[in-house]
Amino acid sequence: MKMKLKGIQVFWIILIMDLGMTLVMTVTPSLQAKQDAWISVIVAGGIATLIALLATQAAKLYPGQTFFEYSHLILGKWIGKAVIVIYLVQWYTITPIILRQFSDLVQVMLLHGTPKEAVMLLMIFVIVYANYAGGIEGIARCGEVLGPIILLMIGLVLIASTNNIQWRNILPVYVDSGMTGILGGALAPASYLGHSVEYLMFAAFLTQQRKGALYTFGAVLTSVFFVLITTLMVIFTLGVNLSSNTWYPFFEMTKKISLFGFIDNFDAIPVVIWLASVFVKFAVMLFLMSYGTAQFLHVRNWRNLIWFIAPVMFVFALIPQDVTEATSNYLQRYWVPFAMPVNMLGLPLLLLVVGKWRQRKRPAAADHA
Amino acid sequence: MKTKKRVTDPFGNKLKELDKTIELKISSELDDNETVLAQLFANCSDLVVRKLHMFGSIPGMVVYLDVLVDDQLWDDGFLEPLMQPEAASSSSSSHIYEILNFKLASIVQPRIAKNMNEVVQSIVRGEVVLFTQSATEAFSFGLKNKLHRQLEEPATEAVIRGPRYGFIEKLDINLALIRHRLRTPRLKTEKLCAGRLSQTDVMIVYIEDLAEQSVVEEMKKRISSIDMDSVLESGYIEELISDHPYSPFPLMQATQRPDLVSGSLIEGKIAVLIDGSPNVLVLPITFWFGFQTAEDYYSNFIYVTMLRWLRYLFAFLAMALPAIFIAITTFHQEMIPTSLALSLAAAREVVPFPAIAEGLIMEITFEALREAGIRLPRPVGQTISIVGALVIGQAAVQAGIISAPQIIVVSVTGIASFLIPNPGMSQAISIIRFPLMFLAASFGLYGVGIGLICVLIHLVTLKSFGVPYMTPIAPFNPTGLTDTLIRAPWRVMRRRQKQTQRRME
Amino acid sequence: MTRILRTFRFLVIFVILGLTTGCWDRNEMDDLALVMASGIDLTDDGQLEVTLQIALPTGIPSAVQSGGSGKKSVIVISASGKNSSEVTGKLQQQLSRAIYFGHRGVIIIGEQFARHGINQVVDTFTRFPESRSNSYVLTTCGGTAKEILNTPYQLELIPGIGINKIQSSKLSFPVKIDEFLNALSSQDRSPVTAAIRVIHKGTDKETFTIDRAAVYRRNQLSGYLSSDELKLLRWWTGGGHHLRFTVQVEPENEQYGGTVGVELLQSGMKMHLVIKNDLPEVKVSLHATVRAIDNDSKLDLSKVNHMKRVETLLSKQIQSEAESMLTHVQKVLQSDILGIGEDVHIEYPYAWKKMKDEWLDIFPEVPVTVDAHIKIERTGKTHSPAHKVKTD
Repeated sequence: MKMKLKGIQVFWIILIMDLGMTLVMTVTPSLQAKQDAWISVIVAGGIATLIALLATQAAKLYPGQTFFEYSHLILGKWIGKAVIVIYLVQWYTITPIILRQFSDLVQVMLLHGTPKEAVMLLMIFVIVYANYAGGIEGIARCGEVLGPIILLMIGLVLIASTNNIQWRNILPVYVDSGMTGILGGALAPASYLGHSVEYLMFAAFLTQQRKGALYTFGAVLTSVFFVLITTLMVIFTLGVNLSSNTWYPFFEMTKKISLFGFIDNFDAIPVVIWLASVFVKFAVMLFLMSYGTAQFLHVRNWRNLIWFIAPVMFVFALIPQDVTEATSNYLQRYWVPFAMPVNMLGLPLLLLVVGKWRQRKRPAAADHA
Repeated sequence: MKTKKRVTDPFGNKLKELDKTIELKISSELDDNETVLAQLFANCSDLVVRKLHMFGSIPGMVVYLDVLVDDQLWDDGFLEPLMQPEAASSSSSSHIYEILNFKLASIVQPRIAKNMNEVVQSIVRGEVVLFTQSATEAFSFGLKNKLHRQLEEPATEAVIRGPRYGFIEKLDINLALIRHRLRTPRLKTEKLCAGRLSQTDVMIVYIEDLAEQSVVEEMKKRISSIDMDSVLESGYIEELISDHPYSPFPLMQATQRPDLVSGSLIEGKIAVLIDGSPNVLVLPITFWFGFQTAEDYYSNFIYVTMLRWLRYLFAFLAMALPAIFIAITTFHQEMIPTSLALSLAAAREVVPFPAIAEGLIMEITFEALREAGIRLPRPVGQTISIVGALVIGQAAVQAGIISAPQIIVVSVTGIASFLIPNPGMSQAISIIRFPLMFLAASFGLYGVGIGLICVLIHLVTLKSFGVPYMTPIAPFNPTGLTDTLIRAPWRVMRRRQKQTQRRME
Repeated sequence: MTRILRTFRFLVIFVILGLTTGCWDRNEMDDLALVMASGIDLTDDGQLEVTLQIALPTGIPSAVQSGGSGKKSVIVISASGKNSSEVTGKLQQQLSRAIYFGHRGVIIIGEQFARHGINQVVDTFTRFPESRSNSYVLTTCGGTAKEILNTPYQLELIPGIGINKIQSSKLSFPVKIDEFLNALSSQDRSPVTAAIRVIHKGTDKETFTIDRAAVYRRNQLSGYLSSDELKLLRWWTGGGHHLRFTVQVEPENEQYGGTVGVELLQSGMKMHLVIKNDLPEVKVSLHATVRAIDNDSKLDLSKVNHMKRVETLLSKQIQSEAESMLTHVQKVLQSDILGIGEDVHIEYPYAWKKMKDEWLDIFPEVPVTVDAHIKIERTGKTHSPAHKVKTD
């Protein structure tokens, strides 16, 4: 049974994957640009759009196939395999890291004493269930329901924060941070917003290939828009001095909301709704890992792999000793300097260029393939 | 689609042996037939076997079950014309068939039974079987006693505005109620039979070209593969032909309202009528169908839109409110406004149980009271359940066993579960409440969130006869939203009807 | 193969379910000691003393026990030690319920501790996940935080809630913990809080009042603003609603005090900044529309010339009050609570880069000129006092 995705589902998946993590994880790093963090976000948005452009163009080369299938059509057997391994390494490492970050956030915001193993296991249980029962189709439908709820939550938080706004917080523009600060701050959000590279995999499941690219751009631009507004709001409400020192400025901002003297400290609700976005992200990642590994190893039923990959994910997530190691080191040592230029920009570009060249050289063969 | 597992039962084999004995030819001798029938119907005091001479000359034998045959019809419509002398030239069965056909025009056309099996089937269905000397065929006449009750307003689906009568236990009349509304030859009815002992008539009703033909075929296949001794109610069918029998959510709508069924048929849905049950199954349905009533389409659309959101809200409360209450009071106390937190703490001061135990005690008590109320006569039942809840609640609070806020939460939950129009949906939501409470007690709001996501995953993977359960939200279909998130005015919804009409042409 | 898979699958599920049943964080409402307010003092031997005001739910009347009013509704406990976590540990040992800071609405810093420097405890305010960013910070003016927390308050069952409500009504000078920390961590602004003190000490009318402001220089308390200066500060920082001023419009005689009282309706502050010789020069104009609320003079406010006179006198008075406040803040307290540094930062960011590190030393030397413009918009229901005998 072939799983099918609709364009709007790809939109929601990419939007949720980009938005959820970026909001929480990368506002702090981008705040190294101080009150100009919002400029960083715009720069990051530009990079993300470029990534989306590369990914969608590359995906057009061989419609109906995942790039695991066509990468050795383009690059030859061995280089193709190497490229696949590079991506698998990315997925196998980023997922446990995010899982670890996620459990840390849950511990900080909701459950101070619960062991991280329990928090992680519960989440793993849910994503395994989603993958086993629904596959990418089921996850996409969950995304369609959860996406609007997540956007609504962000919208409400932003609206409710408006009476905490201090307009002067954003001034002065540019001078304090300078170009290097802004660009430095842009890297982390760009890497998280670059998840549209996974479109290389989704494209194979799309019912209408052509529209997929449009929806992907829509998703990237929408999430950039929301991240931008949120970063501005964080600066307006919290100011730079505090927000750059807290781990999760977005939730600090929600903590500040106080309406009618009744709604106070409601930060747990946004956390729980944010949970939904993490769920979608993990479920998609697990799917990609299982499906990709299955194609790589030529396993017929990818569902069987879920049961092996999920425990591996859990064990990997336990490896980092502390929070700093999990977040900063990974982000600064691997994700930003390696994953972003290579996996998100370099390889799609390589696929695109070589693929185009091959197709031009042997159009008939390509059509046949 | 999944294949249905066969339901095995210990009586199956015995019944099959019985079936074999019936595979008998009809003897040309009346007496032989009589002995066979007397054997089969031994100890059936209501079996009547009468020998008579038809039309004054031909010897015949009439067999029927007394209780099932209408006396008036038997006397005036059957016996009288049969006993009138007639110059019968021959006693060949085709000739007699012609005469009978002509003579007994006032009742139904006779059917010809070719073997004993058919004879027995006709007798147990309340028909009168006529044997004639030296014929290897028998004739059966439907002189069925039209045993049925008055048409009444269905108690479970009362409306303020809308037609007052509902389905009854008789299939023919139920079908008539539908035909009264849909006067078109495109309304197709296909009759099937289910249950070895009960021999229940099951009828699939749909509008040709509107209903998905593949779904109709699939339905027929599933119903005829039902391997049960008896099918007594629509619930049997519902469970046996469901795509996901282990899901608590209703994948078919059981209704007693002809207007709802007719409306659904026009939308391209399929109805299953079961003889002996006033509940007609409508399928395929979506999740949102559980929150709609027939009256939604008769009332002002703005008001109905509000009502629907009220139902969605309260359905959520019915599912998650106790869990959220437990989560907030035991994990996230900082969310409670300070003054409320103080009074909650004060109320809990004397209570010996943890919040989860408190919640469980009250929820279980509430479910028990509700169940108790249903079995009692209606006027008593309602008072019992309300008064019971109040008295028990009041006493429990005063005795310091349960805290007052918990009682409020349970009552709101209770009211909320009554707001869901579809009883199946209401039950499903009540069941989910309990695991959510446990999750809340060990993980707070995180647990509640995880639980709700699990419910969502389950919902999006459900399918009702090929239709994803969460349509039109997931997969998204903007035209469908006019009848789920809102109830659009008919001017707008008419466009959708036009689309279906175009499909018909 | 499939059997191995299936067993493995069940193993995974069972491990998950087995490991996730527990309630590590569960705390029933009646197992918590809800801290309503806390105070920090420095004892004479240099130790930290923390005082907690904890709500007693049994003392709060509810439907069940209606006779709760006779009981005490709070308990106040304190302990001292080297740092705040040690003290919290000591406090916990006195209590059968877990100390819970989620509902702390007020944090009071004792004067002695504030003068000594507050870095020591500030970190715990933000690091604690459950602490609110909506609680108010106050500094005591004379006396200790412990005394304040032991002072009864009649209008609310719990004095801590009383303080919180006074602060949130905006009739006072509310400073939330995150605003305070923000000012503390920034170079262009100095922290300031409202100051609380006990009045009618020793009598049965003993209560607290919040009528001063405590000004910090970096992390140390450097002094207090008087209640008149606080009014100007509120006006300056944009919280001037319902402030009242009284002006002497004519000499006092036997019948009349000769004063007119006004209440601010709209108020604002404009700062004009230029850099001259690497030093900012500031011109500030305070403007407001007011309504007259009492007239204890012979003036008839319906007459234009009388009204003009009141307006000029009022403007002059406010100008001189503002100037005296400025001198106090600049020369004595030497702490930029007025946000002048912030304006320099925004308007001359490059110049600011040079002076930001020694801003607190530059600030006292910054020339600031103030002028005030008051407009009387409404005079109430009467123009001249209604009881006055018409002489003309």
